[in-house]
Amino acid sequence: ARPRWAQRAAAAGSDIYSLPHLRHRHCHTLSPLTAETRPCTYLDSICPPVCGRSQSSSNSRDLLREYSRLGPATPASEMSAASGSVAAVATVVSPPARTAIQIPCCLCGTMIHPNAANQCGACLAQQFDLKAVLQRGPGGAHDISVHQCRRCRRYERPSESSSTGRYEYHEPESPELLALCLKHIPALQHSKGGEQHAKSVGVGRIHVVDAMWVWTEPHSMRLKVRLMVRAEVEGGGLGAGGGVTVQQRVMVELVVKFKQCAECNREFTNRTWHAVVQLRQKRTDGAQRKGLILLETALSKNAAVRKNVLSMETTRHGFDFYFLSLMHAKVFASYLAKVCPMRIKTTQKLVSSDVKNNTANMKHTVSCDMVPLCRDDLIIVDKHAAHAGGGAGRLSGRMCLVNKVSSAIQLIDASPARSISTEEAFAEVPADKYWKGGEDKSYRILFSSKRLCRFVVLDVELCSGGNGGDGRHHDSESQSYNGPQSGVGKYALADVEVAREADFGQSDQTYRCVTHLGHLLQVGDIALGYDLVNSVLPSDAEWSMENSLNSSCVLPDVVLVKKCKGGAVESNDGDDIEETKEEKSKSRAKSSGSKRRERRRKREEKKMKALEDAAARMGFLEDDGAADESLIENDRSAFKEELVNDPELARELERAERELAQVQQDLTPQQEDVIESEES
Amino acid sequence: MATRCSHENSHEVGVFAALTNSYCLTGVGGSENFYSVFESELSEHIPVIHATIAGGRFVGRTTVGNRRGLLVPNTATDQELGHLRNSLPDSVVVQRVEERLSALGNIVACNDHVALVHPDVDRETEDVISDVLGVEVFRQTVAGQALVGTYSKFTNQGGMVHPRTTVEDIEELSGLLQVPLVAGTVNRGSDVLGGGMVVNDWSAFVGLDTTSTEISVIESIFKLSTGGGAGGQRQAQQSDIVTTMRSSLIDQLS
Repeated sequence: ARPRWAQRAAAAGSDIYSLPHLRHRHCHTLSPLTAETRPCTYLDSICPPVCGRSQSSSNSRDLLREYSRLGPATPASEMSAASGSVAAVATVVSPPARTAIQIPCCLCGTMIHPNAANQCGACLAQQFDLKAVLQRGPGGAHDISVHQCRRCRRYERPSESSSTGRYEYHEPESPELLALCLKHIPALQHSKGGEQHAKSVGVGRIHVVDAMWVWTEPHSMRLKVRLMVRAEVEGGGLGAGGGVTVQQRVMVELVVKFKQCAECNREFTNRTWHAVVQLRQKRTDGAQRKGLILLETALSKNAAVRKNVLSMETTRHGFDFYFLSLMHAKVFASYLAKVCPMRIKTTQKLVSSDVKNNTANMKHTVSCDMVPLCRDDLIIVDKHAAHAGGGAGRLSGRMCLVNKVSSAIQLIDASPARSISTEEAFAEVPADKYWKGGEDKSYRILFSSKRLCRFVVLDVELCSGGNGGDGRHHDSESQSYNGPQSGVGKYALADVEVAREADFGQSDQTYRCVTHLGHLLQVGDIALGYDLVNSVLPSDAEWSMENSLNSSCVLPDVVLVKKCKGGAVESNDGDDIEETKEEKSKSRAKSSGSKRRERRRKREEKKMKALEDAAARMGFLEDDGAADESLIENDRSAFKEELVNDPELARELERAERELAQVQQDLTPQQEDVIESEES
Repeated sequence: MATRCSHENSHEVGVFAALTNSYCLTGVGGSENFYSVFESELSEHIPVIHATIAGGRFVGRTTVGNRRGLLVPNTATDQELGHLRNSLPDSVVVQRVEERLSALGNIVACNDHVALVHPDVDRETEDVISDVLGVEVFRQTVAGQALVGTYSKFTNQGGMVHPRTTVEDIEELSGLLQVPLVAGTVNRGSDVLGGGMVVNDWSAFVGLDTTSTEISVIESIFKLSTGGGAGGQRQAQQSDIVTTMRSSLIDQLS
């Protein structure tokens, strides 16, 4: 809604009020070329000699004069109501049309309309050149420069407090970048004393009225901004007049210079890390490292624990995590210890020392050795381990199955006697007992989960002696464990008869064993287990089988580990996967020639891969980093498949993640303070 | 003939001096340079007198007069009044005026025939003015400003008004005063004409800051130019200045 005077003026045929309000609303000049009035498109006293009216001089009387010129037929009473000005209006009855006089510019003589300086625009521009004032860099430098980081392409925002400002990302030719450029122009900064030069020239405070971009080439490293600025200049000899407001359109050019931001700086220098956590699980090559992969998956889901990690590297047996300070590393290591049993040892290395200040620059290494036992490993617990204090309780000197690896290792007797109760078949080995008891020697791994074999269950017979704890009399064998609510214990000892799946149709070879999976197995299930009879063990395993076992231990033929969900799942070996993927991704070869070439290529690849695997097995590729990568990739993919098939594993993963998340919450109140006090 | 001068680094000549066709008053300053400028120009024709009003040197703005008389405000002391009476020729009547607005030079602009006064001046003062100075008094504003003495300056030959006076106003005033008027500036664009210059029928003194354009305008409207006998008949056409002098001015400035 326009004011009434504007509406009336529009009705009278003039349309200068459609211009934006910053322009001369009240100025309506007589064009020298034609006799008609036209709106003034020039702004303020700097304008060329068509109209020199300055906005600062518009008092109510002037406005009244202008309005009267526009509508000579308008009655005075309406006009007085519209302008709403002081008592001076009341005395004016019907003012005749008034035209402003032109006077010669006091310097050059061109006829101009009077303005506060009574000089024409050209003369004013000569005296007060705002462009030179605005284009000065800080401290009188020639250039105004904006800093950008070369790598991350973020712009620096100058801050008053510190010497370096924050780096932020801005789109080119965006309003935020415009604001940033305006902040960089010293002449516009009122608080920082950038207007010293302006004051010396005689220009007062400079205000920005409008700002817009001028397009520059994207990589020209120049930003051009067109500013409409307004400034009060002291007249050269204006006496009582004083204070002319000069408005000028100025183009300011800023140079973009590269400056590395703090984050990129940190990433570039290689002296940044001060502590490293080396997470290792040393198993024989080819054995799956389930614990490691589980930990890695759990860590990848939990970002909070990882927030102090600078970088991570993968090595043959595990991972290296780099941290900024020893405290971060220790905290990280303690989380890991909560999830998996490991031995933590801290060492340091001297980088440099300052004798005079009595300080030293050290690099710390926290090595975390994970217990190499994984789920579903078949191990032998040495009977001598108990002497050293690291025994497994009842299970010393027996062959055991590793059931769960968490903060402690849970073992199950591999060949339990029928008469014992279910609980007695289990034992827990806390982490430190493992290390104290002689580590590898005491807990020797016979089989790892790669050597699992498929068996078909032919007969299940629960051991009556082991079910006494339930209090109910089970006489049916069809009791099965279906979940936490099924009313039966998860594990029960049972006598089962199994046959190898490979033998199933062909031969009649069956094996009997006592297993703890009594409530889980049913006739016809597929179970995974280790075939002791038909396997060849490495020499140290053989030795321990003879020497470490108790006399009371009976070696079973077969040890069942777990039930296989969904019996028809095929096990893929690596080649098949790759082949299927390749077939899908490649487009079908059209001609026979290309098909032949494809087939030949595939055969070659297969051969190469087999050779590589053999070489790796034999140890020829010891130092090949690529082999490590492929190893861990294989481990990861195998882990993922197992995750799908095995709910137990999934549950363990969830538990590990929960542990980490929980531990993270513990961190927040206490440890943070400790860390901050350490760092400060 | 317009002369540039300054009073102790101030270019507002009209504050410190009053000039009429029969005498000239100058304020007392630290040095005699200002006085000597006037003396060198005028002393063979008219008396140039040192004066103070109420102990101050701003005689130009506190007094007003023409060749017949001089009016001083009530703040002038008796000694000053006596000094003026003694120094001025006998044809000049010196009169003290009891007026609330005591800066008489600001509120009254006059020549030998007509005077413009501030609209709020008392009736008695108006009578005194018309009696002592022998002029016809009009209450008028110039360019909406009540201080007619500050924003306009006129002699018997011509006059200059505030640059923002409209054409109609100028015509009206010119009709009243019966002299040609022009809107102009003095002292590099200052619109305070009464304070910036003093002028009489044959001479003018302006501040040092005055540009050549302004001086040419002043000389043309007050008919001061000594260039040829046609000076008196030449019309004060600003366009003449622009066309004849502008090219040379621009050459100088650029």
